Amino acid sequence: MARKVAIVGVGMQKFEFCKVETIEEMVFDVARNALEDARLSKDDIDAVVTGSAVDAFCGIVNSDKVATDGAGGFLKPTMRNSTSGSSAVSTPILGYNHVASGMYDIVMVICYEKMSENASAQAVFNTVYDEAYVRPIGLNVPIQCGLEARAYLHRYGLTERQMAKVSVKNRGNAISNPYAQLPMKLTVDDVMASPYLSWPVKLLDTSPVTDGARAVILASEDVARELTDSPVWIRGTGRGADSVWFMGRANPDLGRLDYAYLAARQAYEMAGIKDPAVEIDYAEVYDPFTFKEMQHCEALGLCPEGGAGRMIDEGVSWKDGALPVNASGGLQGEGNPIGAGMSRLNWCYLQIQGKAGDCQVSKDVNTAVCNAWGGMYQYNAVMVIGRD
Amino acid sequence: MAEESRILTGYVSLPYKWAMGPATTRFYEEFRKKRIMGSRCGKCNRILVPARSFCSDCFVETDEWVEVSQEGSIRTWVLINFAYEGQPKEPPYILAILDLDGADVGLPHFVGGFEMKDLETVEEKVRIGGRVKAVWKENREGYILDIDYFEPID
Repeated sequence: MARKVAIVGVGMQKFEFCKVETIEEMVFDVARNALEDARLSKDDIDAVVTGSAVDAFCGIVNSDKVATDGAGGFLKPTMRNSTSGSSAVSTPILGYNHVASGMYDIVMVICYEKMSENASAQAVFNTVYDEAYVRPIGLNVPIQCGLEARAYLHRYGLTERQMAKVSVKNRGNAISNPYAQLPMKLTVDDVMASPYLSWPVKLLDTSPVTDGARAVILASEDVARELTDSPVWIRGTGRGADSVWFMGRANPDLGRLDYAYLAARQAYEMAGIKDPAVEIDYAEVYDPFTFKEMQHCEALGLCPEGGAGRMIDEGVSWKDGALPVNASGGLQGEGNPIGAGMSRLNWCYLQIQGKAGDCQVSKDVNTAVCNAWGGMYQYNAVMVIGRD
Repeated sequence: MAEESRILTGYVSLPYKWAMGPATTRFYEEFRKKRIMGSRCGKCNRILVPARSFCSDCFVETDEWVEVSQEGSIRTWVLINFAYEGQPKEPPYILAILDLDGADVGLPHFVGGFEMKDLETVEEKVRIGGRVKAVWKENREGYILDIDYFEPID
């Protein structure tokens, strides 16, 4: 029987392009912030779990070793996790497993990425693709997302203007986020007028190249109840993978993310959530591209399948809407340091605690969901957190 | 501490020799003869193009080779309008996932052979479900780029 696991502290820092700190210094900063938030010291930590996606960004292979000291991990059990972009949520899931299993009481989870140190993030991303078939024709992330976006819009009859509204919403929300890299006051016309990179994807549909880290401290029930009167529990976790052959899946339609539906179903079953659109109060949804937020809202059951266009049109996912999504600004507005997209989880926690500052939504938040996506358009990881 | 941080510059360049594996090797040898061959799964009868040595659905090895059509339809496509570093072509150009007649896996490749002046011109030529045909290069090396592009034939 799995033990209950609570989040007892988070560590934040500003997301930026070209941070002056090294990875070690970035990790030290968020680890210390999380310890302060949890009122714990380094020696209280039993084990450390780190996560980042692509070492080629920083040019240090097996970069987890660099994170060890800054995370307070030396002479402790440590483990690095990597499921590409979905590391952002699969890493705290690994931390959860450490505590739920009964093996450790207090675990530090650190996610980091330093993308700016390579001159071309997209050239790095090209090396993610297989060497024989798709690397030679130049596939990279915005290009593959163009393929996927077109399939998605076509399948459900959605529009580029609806995609643009996600950019307006998230970059606007980021204006209230002191850690954000790209706060912008935009109109739909501004987004529509931004240059096409890989039609239908435009510049303002994408997220920036970002450096940054995030920390979360997890604790067993006994410890959590000693530390706080209002613990926030991890109520559900889920993961899903689809075939690395994105062009040869059981479902040939790239518009529907079967693996994300799978991950969400597991997390909701574990959390006992039957109708997420009603039972979830707040969501931080992985939005490296505007249409990914829309696809993920559908897979997470925050709106009906194919209903993400109406969701954004009708204001449901806006900050003052019935089910706010990415009031922090998301990856679009806060920045997208791939693994450190764990920030989605941090913001869910801050919203539930009422500590989200100017990003705090006006409605009560008791239950929140976050997700992350990665690999060859093939992984999703989902976490549901909430109060008792 | 001073907010100053010196920049070290460096370069990581690592040569590799990638084994293509028997299935991909055969697949590309057929390209020299302008033939697109897939491997068939004996259990589900799917024809895999590009060829693969095993069927990940049925979890069995593929053992039969079948030629597929040089024509097919567009599953989805994208117009690249930005010069990313390391790209094989100057924009604008089109990448698509193509379902060749007789194959059960999509082939990612270029769609081209016409002038891409503006979005309207492109939309007239290229659409989801639109038909295309392979255009081969004269000199073929047994590689994905032996097919220059697929041209719309609607």
